[in-house]
Amino acid sequence: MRKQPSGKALSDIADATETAADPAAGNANYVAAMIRNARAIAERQDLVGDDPAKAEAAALTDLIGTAGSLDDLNRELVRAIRGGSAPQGTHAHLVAVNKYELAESNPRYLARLDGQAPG
Amino acid sequence: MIHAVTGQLTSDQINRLANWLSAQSAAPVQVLATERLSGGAIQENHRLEIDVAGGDWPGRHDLVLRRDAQSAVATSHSRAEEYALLKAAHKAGVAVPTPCVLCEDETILGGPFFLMHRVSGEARGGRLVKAAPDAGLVRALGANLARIHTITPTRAKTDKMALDFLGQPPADPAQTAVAQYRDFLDALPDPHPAVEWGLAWLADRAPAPGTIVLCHRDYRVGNLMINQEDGLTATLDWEFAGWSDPLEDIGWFLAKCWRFGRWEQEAGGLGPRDAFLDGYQAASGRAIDPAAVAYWEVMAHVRWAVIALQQAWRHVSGEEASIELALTAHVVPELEAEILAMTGEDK
Repeated sequence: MRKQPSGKALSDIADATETAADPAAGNANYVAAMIRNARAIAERQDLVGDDPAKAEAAALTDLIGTAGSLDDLNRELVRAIRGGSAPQGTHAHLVAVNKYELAESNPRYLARLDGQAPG
Repeated sequence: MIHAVTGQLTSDQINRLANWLSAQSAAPVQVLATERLSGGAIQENHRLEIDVAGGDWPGRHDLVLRRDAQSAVATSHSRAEEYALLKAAHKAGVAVPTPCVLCEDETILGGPFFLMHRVSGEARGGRLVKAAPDAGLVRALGANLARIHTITPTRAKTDKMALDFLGQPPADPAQTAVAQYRDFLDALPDPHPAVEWGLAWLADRAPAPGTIVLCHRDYRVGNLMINQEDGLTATLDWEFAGWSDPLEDIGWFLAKCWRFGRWEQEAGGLGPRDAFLDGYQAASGRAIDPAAVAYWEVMAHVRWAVIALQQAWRHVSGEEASIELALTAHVVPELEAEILAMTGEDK
């Protein structure tokens, strides 16, 4: 489940930061890098749309055995994990969801983990 | 409102500061220069160069003034408490800037502040990890951590270190941390099953409580001032210090998330893990169990994930619009990947 802020909210804060930024400030390069990063994440999320959320909800329905919103299903999974009754396959499910999220937030990190990018 | 780096000292503040320092030192004080230093979202640091014409502190001094930033968070220690921690650490032989004076009179700068001697060096992790691996340096970092850990609740009382504000030491640091992080997650609007998975793993494997010491609780590259000639020159940012298991600090320092991308150098991206542990063990006389360290490395990733989610929520909730806080949310998948890799299928 995507971390918040995502999508448009990320683009919005990138735009607002750019408008307010002082190009002469000592941290101007750092701020510019953050703006680029926020926009890149938002663009990657826009590219895949709701597909990761739909896939996650379908996988959760299979895992837990009930239907519901993505938020409700994840809450149910949290309750099961904390209560010591996480269904078999929970770890594999979490790893799969994590790969979707990493592909959006930091694909280079994912590639390093998978051994496809140099350190 | 977009959070921006502000907070240069005004001329009025500088005048009030000079007058206050004159009263403290019983001699005229001239402020020669001030400069806002980079870093510090929660606290501001200002370089302060002064000249004291006699009195208790004669001569020219190159100092750092530390005060709360606009975005100070309630969970960190106050400046007065941080000053007490700095003094205790200095007394224990930890590499810290020498503390000078604390001011709790809010009429001077609008809030409490303290002064310490300025120490030279580089603290930015991204720059430090570009140097060649340095086993000697990380050995010294391990020994320095061991000196922090010589401060026990008993010693703090015996040596009158004024650390009562830290409260009672936790009876079971690991389970206390798990309970606290679950409470923090419960206060957030979204569910986070991967972090929960890590917490369940930690709850199931919590070690038996052992020695309790003063832990820095943010001892990592980024909070350590290092220079080429002298090595470690200062341990910075004591705002999260508290009583805990010494392994909490060791796990935090060694955690992959604090290697600034240089994963193969497991001691903060600066050098080998074994050298850090050797330095710690030699200085403390305490043998370190690698499996116990691994537990606290999982804890480190979980803790950072929870803090990152809290920081992001400050942006999302509208409390403080900040791209830096917003992006912190997107560090969490990296932390979750490490948590899942370290805990494995068998919960």
